[in-house]
Amino acid sequence: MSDHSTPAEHKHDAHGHEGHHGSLMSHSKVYLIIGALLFIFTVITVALSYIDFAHIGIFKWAFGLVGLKGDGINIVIGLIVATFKVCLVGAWFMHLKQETMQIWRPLLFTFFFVFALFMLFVLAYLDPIPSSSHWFH
Amino acid sequence: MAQDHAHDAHGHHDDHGHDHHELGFWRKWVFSTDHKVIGMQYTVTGLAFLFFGFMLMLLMRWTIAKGGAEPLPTGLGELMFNIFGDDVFTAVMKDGKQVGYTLSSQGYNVFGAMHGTIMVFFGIVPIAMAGFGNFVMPLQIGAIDMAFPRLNMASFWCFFVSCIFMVASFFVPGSAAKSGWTNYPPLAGIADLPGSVDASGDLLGVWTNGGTLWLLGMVFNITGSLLGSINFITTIVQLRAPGMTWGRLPFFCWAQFITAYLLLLAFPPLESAAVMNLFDRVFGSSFFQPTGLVVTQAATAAGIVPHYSGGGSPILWQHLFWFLAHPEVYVLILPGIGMITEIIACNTRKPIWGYKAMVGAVFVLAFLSFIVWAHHMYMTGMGPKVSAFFQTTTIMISVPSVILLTALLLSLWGGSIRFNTPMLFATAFLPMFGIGGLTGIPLAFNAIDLYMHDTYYVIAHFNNVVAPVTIFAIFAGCYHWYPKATGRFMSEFLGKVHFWGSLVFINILFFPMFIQGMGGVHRRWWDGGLTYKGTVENVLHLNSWSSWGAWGLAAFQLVFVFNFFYSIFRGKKVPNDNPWNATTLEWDTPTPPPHGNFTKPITVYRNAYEYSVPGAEKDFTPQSEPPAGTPAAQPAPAH
Amino acid sequence: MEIPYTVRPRPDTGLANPKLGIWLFLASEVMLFGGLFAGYIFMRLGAEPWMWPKGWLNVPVGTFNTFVLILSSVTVILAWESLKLRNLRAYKVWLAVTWICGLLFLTIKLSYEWPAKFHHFGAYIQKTAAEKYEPLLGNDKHEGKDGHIGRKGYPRLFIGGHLDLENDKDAMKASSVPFIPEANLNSVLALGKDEKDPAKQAKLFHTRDEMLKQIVVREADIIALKAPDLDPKKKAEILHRMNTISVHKVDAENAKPYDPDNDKAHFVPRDQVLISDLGLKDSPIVHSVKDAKTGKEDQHLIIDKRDLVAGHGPLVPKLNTYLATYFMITGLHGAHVLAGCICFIYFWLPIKGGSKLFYTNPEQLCNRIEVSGLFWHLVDLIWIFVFPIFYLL
Repeated sequence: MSDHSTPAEHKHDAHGHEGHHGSLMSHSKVYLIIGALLFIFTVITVALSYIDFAHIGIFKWAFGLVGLKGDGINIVIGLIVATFKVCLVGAWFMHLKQETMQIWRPLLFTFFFVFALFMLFVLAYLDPIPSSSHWFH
Repeated sequence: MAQDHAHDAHGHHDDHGHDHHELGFWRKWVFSTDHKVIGMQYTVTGLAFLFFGFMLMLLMRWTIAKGGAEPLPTGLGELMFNIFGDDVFTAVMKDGKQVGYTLSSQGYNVFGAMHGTIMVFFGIVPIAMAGFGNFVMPLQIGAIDMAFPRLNMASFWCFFVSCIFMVASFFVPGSAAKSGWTNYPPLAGIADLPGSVDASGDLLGVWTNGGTLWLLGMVFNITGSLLGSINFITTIVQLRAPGMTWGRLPFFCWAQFITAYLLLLAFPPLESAAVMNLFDRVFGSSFFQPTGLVVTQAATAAGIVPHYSGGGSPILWQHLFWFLAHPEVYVLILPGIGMITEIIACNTRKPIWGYKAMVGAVFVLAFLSFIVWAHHMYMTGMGPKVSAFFQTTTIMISVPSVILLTALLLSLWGGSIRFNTPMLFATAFLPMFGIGGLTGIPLAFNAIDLYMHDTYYVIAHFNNVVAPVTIFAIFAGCYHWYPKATGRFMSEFLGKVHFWGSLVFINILFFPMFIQGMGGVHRRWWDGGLTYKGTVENVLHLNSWSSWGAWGLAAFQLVFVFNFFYSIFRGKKVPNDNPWNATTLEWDTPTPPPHGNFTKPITVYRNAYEYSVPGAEKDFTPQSEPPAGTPAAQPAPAH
Repeated sequence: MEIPYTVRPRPDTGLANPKLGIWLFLASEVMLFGGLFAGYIFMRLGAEPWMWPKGWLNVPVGTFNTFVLILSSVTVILAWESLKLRNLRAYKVWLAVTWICGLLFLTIKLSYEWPAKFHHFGAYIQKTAAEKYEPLLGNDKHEGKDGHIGRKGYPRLFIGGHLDLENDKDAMKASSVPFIPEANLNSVLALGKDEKDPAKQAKLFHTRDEMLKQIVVREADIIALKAPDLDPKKKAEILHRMNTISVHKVDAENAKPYDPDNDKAHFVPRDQVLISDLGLKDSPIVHSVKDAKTGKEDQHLIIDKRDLVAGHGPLVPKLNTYLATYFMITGLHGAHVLAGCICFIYFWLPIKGGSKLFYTNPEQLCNRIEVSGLFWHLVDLIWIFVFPIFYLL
């Protein structure tokens, strides 16, 4: 399995290492830029939480299309920003950008199962048998 | 042949291995970092728990068979009463006179909950996965030890702490957990409520009560399993000997690899659920306690109303629990299938039929097992859309299971089978797996499950998958690898007595339960159903059949226990390092393998099961044997 | 005997053992926090909208803590980078900043954020009793507008205030005691009364006393209740006292005027403000009490426990599911921060496994920082989700 993909991965890895030793200053700079971006997006997250999107026509309409209303819009927007920040941390700080498939493979399954956990929980919650509809107004 | 190498390679290894010669008893046998010792520690602890859990069930079967009214045999009753106390055992009065002791209804709940917990989390997983996995897997891939030996020791001691919690929980006020092995809230939140009083007037402490200790035990158990599974995966990925490609990996290692992934990704949600439940019990939060919960505490002399803010969801626990517990079923079965595969290949003297299909099937099985969990929850008022999804995935998962069974069955075809004890257990494994698996299919369907749920049918199905399948595989594994671990065979005669007795009685034990279950007998009737006699009268007489089956089964396990210890000292000595003429690498080591395992550099040249290769001199070709014309074992390439 | 690939990567997988190990561990951590967040989702979906609070946490402090964690994430990677360059001095500086940031984060959590919860008090009023307490709830002022404590569009049913732990030592324990039906209390009091065996009776009496300690506030009341010839009127009085809670003292002189529009609900001492502002001095639910020591007159707000939803007391996990998830997730996250700090301090100290390793096996030290750094980034990453879902949304 993995032995088939070895040469390519190995080359890639070696390349990554050379990159480290060759241009280290630029690497530090990248980390600082990502850090600064994280600071900025934290401020943005806080700022967004003070805006009531449910009262802004365009957002109300757009999110209404997928059935979101009220606080739900703020929550989804907040989580989108958080996910973006998480991607920055993962890709650059945790080096997932240049990581091998050996690492990615279990992680992809993990993400899938976490997603399944959330989705199926919520679906099960939102789909009670019809006669017990008092459960959910 | 391995012995020949043993001597000349010994000098070479002395300079590396001198540290282990100086290890004292404690570092060598107790706080050991050697995977083989840890494997044996797990196996022995697990076997002890397996028999302890079985003993709980034997006492329960007495109550069921006798309708809860008869005292236990004189002597046994007194003994049990003195050990477990009056929270679990109660005096039986006849004509105003005390005639003995028997399990109380509350004690039945305690034993039922602890039987399930102990068998699953403290018996089978530690033996099949941690015990055999630790002992055999690094040997099979040609590694000198696990990737993280100290972490390996840490996982065992985490597990050991959890064992202490579970055993201790029997001796606190109110006795051990009593909310079923699934520990469903809201009952799990309010049973053994701290501040209430048990049967003997003792006050239950905040931390020292059965329910809380159960959760603490599970947290440690899960932590140990997680550390162990990280170690297993890393070892298999990183420490395979040169030439041991994925395609040459013995199936047992594949099974352990996938099992480790199942544990790694499925156990954490249960750990989080256990922490939430601990919060509920210790800090009074309401993760699983719904609004408007009304509790009458008949069990306690004077009840204190539990103070819960409400707003929690008992269903959340079920989701998180079954998110683990369904993959857990495959954690129970996969190492068993792995062991059986090794034994079948070795004893039919034939390669496994469909090795690649089996590996693929295990992958699919593992993947699907994460998205079928809610078929345990049809009764929770789940709507048609979601239950249709779970019915579909559940039926889909039977396909890879059938592939595994079929491949193993076809592997028997045309083989010259050696019916030694491990092979007998392996052959019995196949039909029993068929019965256990096929009876599960009706339960996958919502409509049937609504009727069958919580009946003895479910008990029979699940126990049929676990007892005569996984536990038989464990026995097979014990008989098969015992010579490698100790240098002596277990007695063949006693082994055959053990096998035939177990096979007969285990079916007498479980088969009537299918009938009872379809007749509507509920799994938690402590008096065996006498209270509801009117509804299930036709099948109640089967209670004593099952109970006799259980006691007979117990009698034959004594043969195994005797054999296990007797053979350490008096068993027949192995003639050489590879007494079964097997191909995989664990037989390439000295017997028993020393610290560091191999006495020569190992290189793998061929597939795992090269038995009866046409044109070969012997009917087996070990994986480390170089192809004809190649110079023998070169030193491993340096990395 | 040495395990291969502990430092150098295995050629065909391209990985060293620790790196694969830590990623697998992180995968299980993702599932662990996945389970916890699934709990959050369920709690939030299942909570009555007016029970899920907003604005209970201090946003500036939380933002500051987020900055601290992000900074430490940057510095740990700079520490790793310095090791790659074989610059020990820079490594020690960056790593020190990292663990100091981690400890700062924990200090803020443990010295300010968590204790603040224990020093506040809150109670949910039953919908049916809302009218009686309406002047304190302020729903009439919020007609058509968003309540800050209750969720949008729902009436506010929450009364909160400071809890003076110095003066009310029993307050925390006492205030979380539920309403005790008389029947239950009687059965506790009857415990052991009819027991013939003196040894067993002593045991049961001990149990009774332990149970009474849990449910009754004052020592004097316990003694009084145990008296065999207790006057029924006196008993009723004690029971009444047990079944009412007293929300903190009112300082009418220093009260600020109440302004519902600027009520950010960070626990303004609502009891003071509301009572003085709305002229409730003569309200039947407010009592004047003379302090025995100072002689100063204080105002007590007395709420009948029967008017309360089960959740009332200090802001601990018991109060509602929001606080339960808050304490559990931030608690487990804090435990991870602590674990990370311990690792970093260990690698920073000039010991054999720490920075002295630089002289013998710098690559191994480098790996250690990479691996613990990956763990640290995950801790940061979890906080990035925790911060908005508890502080902001």
